[in-house]
Amino acid sequence: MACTLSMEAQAEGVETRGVVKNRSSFNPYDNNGGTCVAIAGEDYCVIAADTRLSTGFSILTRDASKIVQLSEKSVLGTSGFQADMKTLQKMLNAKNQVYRHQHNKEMSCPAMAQLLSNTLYYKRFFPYYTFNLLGGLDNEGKGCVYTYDAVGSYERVGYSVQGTGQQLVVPVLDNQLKSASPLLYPPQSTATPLTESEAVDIVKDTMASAGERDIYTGDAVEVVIINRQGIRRETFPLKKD
Amino acid sequence: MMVGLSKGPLLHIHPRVFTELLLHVRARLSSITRANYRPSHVASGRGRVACELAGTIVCGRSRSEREARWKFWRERSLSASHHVPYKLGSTAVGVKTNEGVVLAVEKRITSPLLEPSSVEKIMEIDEHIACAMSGLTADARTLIDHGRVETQNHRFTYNEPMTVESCTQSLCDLALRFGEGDDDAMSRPFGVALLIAGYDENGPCLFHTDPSGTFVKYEAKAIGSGSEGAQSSLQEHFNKDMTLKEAETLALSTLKQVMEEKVSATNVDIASVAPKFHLYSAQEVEAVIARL
Repeated sequence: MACTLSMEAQAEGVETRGVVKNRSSFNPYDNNGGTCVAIAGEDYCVIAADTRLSTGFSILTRDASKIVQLSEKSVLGTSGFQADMKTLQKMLNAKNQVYRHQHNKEMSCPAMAQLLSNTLYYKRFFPYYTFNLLGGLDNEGKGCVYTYDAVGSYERVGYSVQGTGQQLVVPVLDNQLKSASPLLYPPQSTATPLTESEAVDIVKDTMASAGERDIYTGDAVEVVIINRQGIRRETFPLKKD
Repeated sequence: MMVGLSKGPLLHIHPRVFTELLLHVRARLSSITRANYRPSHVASGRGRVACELAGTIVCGRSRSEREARWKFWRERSLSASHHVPYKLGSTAVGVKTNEGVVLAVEKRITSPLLEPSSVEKIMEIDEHIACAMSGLTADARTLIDHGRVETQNHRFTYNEPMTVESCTQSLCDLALRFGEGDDDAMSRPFGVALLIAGYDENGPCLFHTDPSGTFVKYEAKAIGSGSEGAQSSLQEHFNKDMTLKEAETLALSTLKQVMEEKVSATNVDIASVAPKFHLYSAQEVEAVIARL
């Protein structure tokens, strides 16, 4: 929350030529909280996010989806600032439509990953305050997860977590997924050897656990599963406290 | 090389660069092109088609100017295709196989003093797309530059190679942009026909584009002055199960039939895209010639 702190410091007032003036405390950003988890399997990808939208100690809604399907084989999960998330989603959807018309094919997940990175980086100096996970199937039909920072630095990984529950969930996945280390040489597939239903169960458990400790995570978890058959969406309740 | 300009200092300039400069200037000066340019230079006289697309293209600033321009081009090209015994571009042949695509072009060596390697009629657009040209080759440079930018831009944005069809489409979009904007920008259609060979996620493919901005997919295609004879020869000898090696031989033997001079490593260029672009060295061309 370094960002919020520096903004508060500015709002306290600055002395200019002996006169103390109060600067406007307008902050263009907010963090609306929420947790996204994505896991890549050999031939599937699971991506999940809770549906709570909060600001400070208030819950704005218990039913706000953070996951959108961008193309046939790619799904985006976003936490961070809700307005930026919506704008980013609209932007990517529009770009996807243009791509489909121009190239007469569906955008692949790796292509979408690069496009998302560029889209974020083009706003390098007034960034979208969003933390993204892109999940889907690559050109070989393997599960893939791309994880991003707010300005578009990205990496293909076997699993990743973004959002307010990140610190709670990551060590559990590190421990439970039995994925090969990305540091191995020669490189091995970082996709988890677990089955789809095992992965879905782990996702549900981790989200429930995050909900116990993180006040910004709760209400319900939306799980999207992408595999050869297509895309499936499931919702499970979490605690509402 | 030293180049003397009418006023000012002598410039040191590489002859190749100087030639390129001249070609660029020539292609861009509308006064020169109005006076000298004949669609008869256009490979297969396709400038006509461009002019028949009236209504779809915006030319000039005012309506009357636009109409005058249309009239100009229509008359030029109609007379070219019906009355004037026209000279066409050098012949180029493309043959597609399951392994890849072969391009072969004739280089007209008009003088024994001409350096054959400076006649460049097959160019790389991206590592998986090649282009053979016939007609005003200077015009092709503008198109190819555009194609190179588009394919690189696609890699930058999507981290994947551009499909050959999308690349061809973008070249044809540019071909239709003549007459737009200021008077000095693109005052006339491109006078060049292209064979675009490529290899993408859908496998190998070959496209033919002409100055009208139309593009068509082919299994095997010949363009330029010898195209009629070459095309019928291709039709006779082409089959879908050819190997790349057989395609090299077919392309070159087809070219040989329509060439006036004897085929040699200096007066033909061969390239393949299988799946990457490769321009044949003199030795490799000799090897193909030996198989004829």
